[in-house]
Amino acid sequence: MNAWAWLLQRISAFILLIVLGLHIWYLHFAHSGDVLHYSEIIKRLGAPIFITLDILLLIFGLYHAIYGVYAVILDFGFGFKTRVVALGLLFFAGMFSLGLGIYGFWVFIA
Amino acid sequence: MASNEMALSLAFKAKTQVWTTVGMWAWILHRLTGLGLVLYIFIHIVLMSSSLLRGQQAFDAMLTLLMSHPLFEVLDRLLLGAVLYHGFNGIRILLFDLGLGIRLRSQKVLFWVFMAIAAILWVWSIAVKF
Repeated sequence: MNAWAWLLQRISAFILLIVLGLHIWYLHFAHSGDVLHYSEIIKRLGAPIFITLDILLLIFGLYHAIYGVYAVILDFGFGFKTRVVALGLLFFAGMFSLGLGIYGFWVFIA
Repeated sequence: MASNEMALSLAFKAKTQVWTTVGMWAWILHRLTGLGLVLYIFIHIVLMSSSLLRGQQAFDAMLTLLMSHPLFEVLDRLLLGAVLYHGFNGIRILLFDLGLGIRLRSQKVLFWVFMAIAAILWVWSIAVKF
């Protein structure tokens, strides 16, 4: 991995501190009831600011997660072949989750 | 000269490469909470997206289970603790990258200050939310 991937890991960490903080605050502390309901989520996803925050959280959260796991794999000193396979699997899992998340948002935006 | 370098090297090794240092445990716990959060984020995306796409009943049933079952309440508290630890230790790492607080003593002080803030936030959030 090069310096840009490392730098993006740090930038994503900084963005996540803000975006994830807002996500947890809004969904778990700022709403009225104990349990969230579909209607509250739909109302929230109707606001451009919240959909933007959620998409940023999805993209940067997944990047940070995938690069983080890859960094742990690097710590163990596995060989080139194992690293490539691991990166491929992580990339696939990331793309699948990103696609599912974006599709979920898109249905509600549309 | 050589013996001085050897002594310095041994002193450095003794202070930085052993299991009794705070930094080693901070690093290990950062890795462990990170891996736990990665597992969570994948499960979270799949569960939320799939239940949202299946409609109101499926989503409400999923959230009622996740937000009111005692087992998931305990897991939620652990999740919040992991997020707070990883986040605050992450701020410490970001500060090091900027060249702030990298002296050995500063690293320890920063760690305990951030852990104190994280612990206060964790206890407060449990008291307010659960």
